[in-house]
Amino acid sequence: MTKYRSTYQRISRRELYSPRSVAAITLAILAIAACLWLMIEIVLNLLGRPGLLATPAGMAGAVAGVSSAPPVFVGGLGLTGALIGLLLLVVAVTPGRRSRHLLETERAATIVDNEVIASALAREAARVAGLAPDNARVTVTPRSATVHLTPTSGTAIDQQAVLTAVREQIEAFGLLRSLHAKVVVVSTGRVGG
Amino acid sequence: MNSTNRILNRIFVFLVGLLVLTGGATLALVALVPLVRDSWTNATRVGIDRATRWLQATPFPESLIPVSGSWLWLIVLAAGVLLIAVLVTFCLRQGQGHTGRIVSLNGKTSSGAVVIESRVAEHAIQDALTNRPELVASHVSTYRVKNQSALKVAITCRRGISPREASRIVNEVLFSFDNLLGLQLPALVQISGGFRARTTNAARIR
Repeated sequence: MTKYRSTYQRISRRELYSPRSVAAITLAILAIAACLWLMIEIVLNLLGRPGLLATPAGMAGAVAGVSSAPPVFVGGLGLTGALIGLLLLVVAVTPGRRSRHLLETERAATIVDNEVIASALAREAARVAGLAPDNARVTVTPRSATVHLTPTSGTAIDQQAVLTAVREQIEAFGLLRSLHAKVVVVSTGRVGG
Repeated sequence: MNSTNRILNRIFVFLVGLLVLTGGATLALVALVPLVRDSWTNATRVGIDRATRWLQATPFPESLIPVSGSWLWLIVLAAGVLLIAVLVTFCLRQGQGHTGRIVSLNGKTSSGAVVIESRVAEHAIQDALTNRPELVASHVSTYRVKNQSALKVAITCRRGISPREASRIVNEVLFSFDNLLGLQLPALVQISGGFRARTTNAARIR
């Protein structure tokens, strides 16, 4: 791993953060569609045919007439546009961390989906608590793992034992950014759980 | 792992966002502030007058095809075609970076050039992972990262498998492939769950 340090760093970074390709491609396709429409309108106008939706002169008139249109409608349109623009700026600037974690290994850069970590922890928690696998649910975020247990009605769960087991398991995974474990026992049990 | 230009993606999204934001803010101001509304009315009237004058001053030559209007429109159309071409190229550039060769030694060996195709790695590693009961599926692909071939091993685990265990299995296979190849390539292991993992039963293997 030491030989290709910068290569590994690049790979790990690029797998951990979103490329923002979906947003970029969607916007590009919308822009292409708008361009095509405007060009078709211009060509139709040059040929002296009626426009598809509006002629260039009609569009200019509409832009100028915005000030005399009902203010509520125009203001609402403007605010919606500003909000969408702000959202796009946020998408462009935020890091966009994917729901994945890096694993320390000797040979390869290893990246694990949060889902896999959650399902492994759920199995361990269910085993220690003596529950069926479906009665343990785990949520994994970038910094923590929360185990939700649905007990069998009328039986108690050793929460401390589950917490210890989950912590050990997280330790054993060797995640580059360790997770803070939490156990929540749902107050309503389930018969036959 | 691909060669998508992420900075460019973000700059593009940022610019479009800025454009939409300014457009929306202008509309809102025009609708809500009377002062801005008046200046908007004046500015658009002046702009439209000027544009009309330009368009009337630049008609097509008489002898040409039966089109009426200004040849300025042709410049607008050309700019549109150019913009569309740039945007299409931008879209098609995403997700590139695969390579067909993992090693090529030109004249570095005494017996001539050696080329090893990516298929060798892909088949060898995938075959070794197929029979593992812990894994539902595996896929190997080769990319070029920093002028160096790199392997990407994507595996789908069964429900409840420890990621450490899955990583150990793949690392073992990678080490034996290193021995087979005679050199070590950088590798990425991607461990995911996915739909197939969710629908299969929880595994009892340890």
